[in-house]
Amino acid sequence: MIAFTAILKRDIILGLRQGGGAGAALAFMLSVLVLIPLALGPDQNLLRRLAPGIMWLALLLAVLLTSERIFQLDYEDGTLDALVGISLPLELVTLAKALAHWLAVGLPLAIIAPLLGILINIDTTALPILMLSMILGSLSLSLLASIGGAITAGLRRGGLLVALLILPLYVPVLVFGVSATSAETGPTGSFSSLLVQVAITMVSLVVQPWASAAALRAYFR
Amino acid sequence: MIDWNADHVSFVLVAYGIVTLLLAAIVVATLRRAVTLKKTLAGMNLSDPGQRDKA
Amino acid sequence: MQIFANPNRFFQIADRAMPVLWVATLVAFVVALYFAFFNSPADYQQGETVRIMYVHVPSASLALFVYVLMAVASAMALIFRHPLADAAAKAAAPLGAAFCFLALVTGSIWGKPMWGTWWVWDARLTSMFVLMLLYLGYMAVWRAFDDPHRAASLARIVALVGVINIPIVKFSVNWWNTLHQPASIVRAGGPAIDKSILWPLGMMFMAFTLLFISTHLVALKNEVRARKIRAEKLKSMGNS
Repeated sequence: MIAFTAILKRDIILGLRQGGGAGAALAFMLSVLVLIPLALGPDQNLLRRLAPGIMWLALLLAVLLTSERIFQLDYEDGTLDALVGISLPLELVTLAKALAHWLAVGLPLAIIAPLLGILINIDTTALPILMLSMILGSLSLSLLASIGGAITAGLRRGGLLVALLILPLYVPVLVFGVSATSAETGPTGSFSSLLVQVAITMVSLVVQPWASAAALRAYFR
Repeated sequence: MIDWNADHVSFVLVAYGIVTLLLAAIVVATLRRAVTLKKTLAGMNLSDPGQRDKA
Repeated sequence: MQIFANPNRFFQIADRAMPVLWVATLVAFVVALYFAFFNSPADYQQGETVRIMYVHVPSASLALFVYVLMAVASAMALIFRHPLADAAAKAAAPLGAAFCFLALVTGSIWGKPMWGTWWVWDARLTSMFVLMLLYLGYMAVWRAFDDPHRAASLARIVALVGVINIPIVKFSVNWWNTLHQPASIVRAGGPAIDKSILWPLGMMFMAFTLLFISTHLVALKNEVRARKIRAEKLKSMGNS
């Protein structure tokens, strides 16, 4: 347990520092928000209708952008070698690293994103539910990103492969994330969407440690 | 029986054409690869692991 | 199951079956094409384009089936460490991807005269599209690594995670589709299938399956051959 929290702490600190993933992800999200109105035009009604979807896309792609870093840097500088050898099961090591990625990248963005949505005229009454679904969704996004990150840990240029591997896994997260906030669903629809999101997060929680650890073991045999 | 003068027959033909071409290409490519690999094996004086009963 | 345990025995049986399989594939295709073009009626609604269905449906079901087969083979590689399982999954991937691609393309060609557009974000089309991505990802993993053992271990994980993902994607895409349902152009259940359609469809399905089995067997043997060549090259490099 001490090892688990130590890895968690270390990864959060590294992630928040300059050169870590958090800054890059935030910058990416901001640039999407500035570019979207320029691309689609300043029509307030159009932006309002698209706002939840745009915010979700920005969050998803920002997490995807940083997914490579979860294991790659540690693989290159030899930290992973050390982590494979400790008494903590590799499954829990990868879980700690995925959670750290969520706490450093996903969670801050999920909280900031709905507020930034004001820039694209987001419906403010939907903000709490958007924030809730994004917090939940970003956890599964980070967990799934860790699977892709572990598989491509040893590839110098794994960016394209990571995107290809993770995108199919992100489809359900995106669908239910957006449907929780879209106006068409109504309150009961939002609630059931959130429940499904909880279920997806649970499945990710079960699959992620196994898949990531198995992938890392392929590198250290 | 197909009516060759009906609407959209060209769509049907294009669809079947693409299916035939792609499937044929894959079969030919696989068989050709088998031949190349067999030649390489023979060149290295190795038995072919794909044909045990003749060894 | 026992015949898979010993690769030698398996190849012996496969070699004897090979000519029969190729002939059966050819015959099935000739019969299926005859039924598809000359011995089946045009649909009263869809006209002649209904004939596209005879290649579209087998492509789509084989695309799904082959992925499941890949996942089962990967699981066998993981659990039983079977020497052929990884090669079987690897050999199946391009075939499955081809069927998936054909399902998308023929669906699109069918859609244009029927719905007036090449592509709709219908639930089935979308999940087929995601399946295509899964295939591409799986094949990309095999290509990305020089070491075949490492590639095999990682590809297994990709296949297994993918097979968990498929039903979830299917479910979510259905949900999403009912949410954004445009004017209903695709009927959910489809029309009841008439006997006259069942024949060409069944024959074509058999032809596709036979083609997959024959090609997959050759591709599997190719994998084993390539593996042997690679091992020999490494050995001779070590000696010199």
